[in-house]
Amino acid sequence: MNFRHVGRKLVGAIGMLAFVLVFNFFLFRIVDSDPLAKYRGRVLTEEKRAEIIERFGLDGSKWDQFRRYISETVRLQFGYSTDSGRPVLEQIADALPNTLLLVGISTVITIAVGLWLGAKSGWRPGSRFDRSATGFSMVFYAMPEFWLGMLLLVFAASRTGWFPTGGVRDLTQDLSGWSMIVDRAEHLVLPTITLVLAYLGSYALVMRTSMLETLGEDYLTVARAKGLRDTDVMRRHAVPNALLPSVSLIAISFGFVVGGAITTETVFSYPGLGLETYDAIQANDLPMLQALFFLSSAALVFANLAADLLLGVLDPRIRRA
Amino acid sequence: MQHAGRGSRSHRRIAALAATALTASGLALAGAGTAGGQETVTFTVATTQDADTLNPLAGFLVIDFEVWNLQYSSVTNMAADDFSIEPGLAEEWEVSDDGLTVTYTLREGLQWSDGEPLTAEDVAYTINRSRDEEWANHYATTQNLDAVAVDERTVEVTTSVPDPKLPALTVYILPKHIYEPMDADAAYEHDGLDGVGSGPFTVAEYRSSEFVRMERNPNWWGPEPAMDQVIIRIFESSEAQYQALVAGEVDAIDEVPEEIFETLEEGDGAVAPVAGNQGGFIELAMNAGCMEFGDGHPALEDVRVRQAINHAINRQELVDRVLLGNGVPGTSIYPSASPEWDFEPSEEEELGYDPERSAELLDEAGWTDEDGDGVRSKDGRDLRLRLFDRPAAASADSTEFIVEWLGDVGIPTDVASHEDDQLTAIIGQGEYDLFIWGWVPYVDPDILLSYFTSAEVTTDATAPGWNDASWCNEEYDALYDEQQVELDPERRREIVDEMLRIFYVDAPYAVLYKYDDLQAVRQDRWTNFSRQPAETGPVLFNNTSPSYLTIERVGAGDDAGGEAADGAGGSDDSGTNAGVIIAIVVGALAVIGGGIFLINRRRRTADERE
Repeated sequence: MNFRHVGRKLVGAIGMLAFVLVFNFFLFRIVDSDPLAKYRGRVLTEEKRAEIIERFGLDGSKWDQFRRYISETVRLQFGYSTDSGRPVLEQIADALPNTLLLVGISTVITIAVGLWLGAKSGWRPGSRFDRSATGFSMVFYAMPEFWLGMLLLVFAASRTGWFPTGGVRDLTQDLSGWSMIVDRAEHLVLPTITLVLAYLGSYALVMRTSMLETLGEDYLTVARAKGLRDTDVMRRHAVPNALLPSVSLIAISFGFVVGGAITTETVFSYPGLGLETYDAIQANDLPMLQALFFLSSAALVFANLAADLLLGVLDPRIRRA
Repeated sequence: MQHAGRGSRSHRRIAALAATALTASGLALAGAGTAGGQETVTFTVATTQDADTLNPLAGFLVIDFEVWNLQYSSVTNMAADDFSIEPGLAEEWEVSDDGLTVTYTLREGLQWSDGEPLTAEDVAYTINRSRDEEWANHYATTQNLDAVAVDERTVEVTTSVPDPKLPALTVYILPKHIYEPMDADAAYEHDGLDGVGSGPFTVAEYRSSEFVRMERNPNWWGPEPAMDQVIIRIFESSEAQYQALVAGEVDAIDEVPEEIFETLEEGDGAVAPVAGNQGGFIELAMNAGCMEFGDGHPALEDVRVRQAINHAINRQELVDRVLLGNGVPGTSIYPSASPEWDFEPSEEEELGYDPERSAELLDEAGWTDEDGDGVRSKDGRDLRLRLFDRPAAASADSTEFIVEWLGDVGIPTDVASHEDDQLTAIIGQGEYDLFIWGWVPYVDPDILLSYFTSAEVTTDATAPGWNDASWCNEEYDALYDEQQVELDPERRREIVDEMLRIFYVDAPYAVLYKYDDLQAVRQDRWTNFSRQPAETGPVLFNNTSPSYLTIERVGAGDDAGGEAADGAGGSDDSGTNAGVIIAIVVGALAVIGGGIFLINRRRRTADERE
């Protein structure tokens, strides 16, 4: 039974990946763009033109292109960026650590703070804490991310000089050791705060709602009847059960880490995958977009799979169903 | 006990997060004071454009040229003031009597940044190879040249046709020892990060969409610059870039948005605005359709219709309202970065704003509004034109004005916006009537003038030419050939002026305006920036980037308290941007207030339900 559950989820994930793979090919070919456009105005011999077309995998029929695309993608060969001419994978590998750091850290903080706020709010709905916490997280949830980032940039960087306005490191100095770590951390602060504030609300709300749902459950009455203190009832009985709906949300959030944070990275000129995506869109860089889209979709599919399997472990009812 | 422990741990976790944030900011303030062990003086420039490649054979973006201007010397230089010829790698030169041969004598003891000697061989190699392989940034200069290294310091350059540009020879001379091992393709694919140059700075590090860092060349032959390194930082938004300037993270920025530029005042403030002109212009181009190619509206083949469109446009209003005054109304094309080539129409030729004259010309051409629906037509065809613009460009703000003015004279337009690549393709297929785009000229007018010869009109979509107005004029073509070999500068200027007049009167373009490049610099830190050309030009991203050698630090040696002073600089400046800040604060209050209101309401209804 357990095996069948896992098997079904695995097949589902693989199917999803296959779909993404195919969809990806057609998605970016709908865009009518000329990869040779940037070479316009230069002297291009016929051979050179043919070579460029071949290099970017644009020769042959659509069917040939499709077959080549599939066989290359499954071997993780994504070709060359039409914008920079560098290998796509190399370019992604450069940006990936920055993104993992920024989005990873902020996701962890967001989840921790969001769940805590949500649990506490949901436990005493209507309390002063609930009203201010929910209000706080909703306001920032509703705020456009770029605007929030811009506010922080103006007031916490530009006007006050507390933090750098962008980038990942101080370029004017050659830092090492501890001072390098501090410098990196400084550059992370504002984008992290932006991301945390912008996404806090979704966790807080989900957690609050599921907390509210558990409030009327019989096992809580039983726990209280046992004479447990209110905080213990909450920590040991209510929170673990209320957490279940958040598990998928959390897993999926980690899937999004690989996608980067386009808006925030753009505001803070932070060279991660989000910025790469933004630049690739602007430059009509198909191979780059294709790879970015594929990788982030794949991460999401895996995260989703992890959530499904984890839920199966955590909640026996799901396995049975 | 156990529970209490767990509780406090979770509290500590939150507290720890807050502490990290505080420490980081504390260190940011403290860090500046301790950092100055062996002080590296850095001049940081910000731009919003990422380099495509730093390979001088293949790149073509403005930022690339800024890097090469610093990394490579050319045989002769262009003066900061007026682009006149100055010694470069060559300290002197001699022109033969027939004007076809120039003998350059190089400076003594020249070396590449890696210590290899820089000789006549390198010069001859660059000229000859760039001609043979048609290197994009060299070919226009070297296509007719042949160079021979006579000895270590002597290069003899011969041109096959008279060349008015000589003896000026301004192409980047590349290191033979780096490029010789590469065949044509390898050279073209080269990443340009070898860092071997003969200019004041050479590339030390480049990260795409982040920065280019250039270090001082120990073997540079010219005047010593005031900084050890130059960093060109790449920002994604011009707003963020401006904020970095205010914060003091960068020393100079390019492409300041008009709205911000408006708020900057010349004077003693930390930040100084610089509006510099180097001939960049925006035009409303028309498909004059001289080659039976594409599907342009036939009305535009008639010069009277094209002139009528010129008369319908109020250029001064565009300058005032789109550029906020940072430019001048356009006349003909501007073929050179130097204003000495600009064309001024005589009073009777002038195609100024005159809707009545416009209507007259359209009537004369047979395009009349007989049924009174506000649309002119002729032989059953309406004079309705497609108008394309580029959404990301500042010039897109002109579109609605132009649509209205053309509508006023009975020419309705269908507007569509296209990305640059797409619009290039559409123009290449000749499937347009009107579009708004622009050009930025070089110093010598030849290249821009060449684009409007008949030879550049597209007749085959797979090999598009440069003439994006599909405009042919035999007289213009003949004059073009004539100026190309005219060695008398005065005579050449007359010929070019006549070409510009023909272009203006025949009106394949309505040149809307010549715009200023809007830049800003930290004048509290650096002084003595060089405008190129003198008085009117920009201080950065100009033709030969002279500022990097002329700037001086303000109060050098007083840098320990730099960070604190920067903070002060920022607040000094706060008055100028007050409007923006107030708007932001009001917006924030509105959002927060609205949020609280909604939440309270929701809570009230929840209470009622209970």
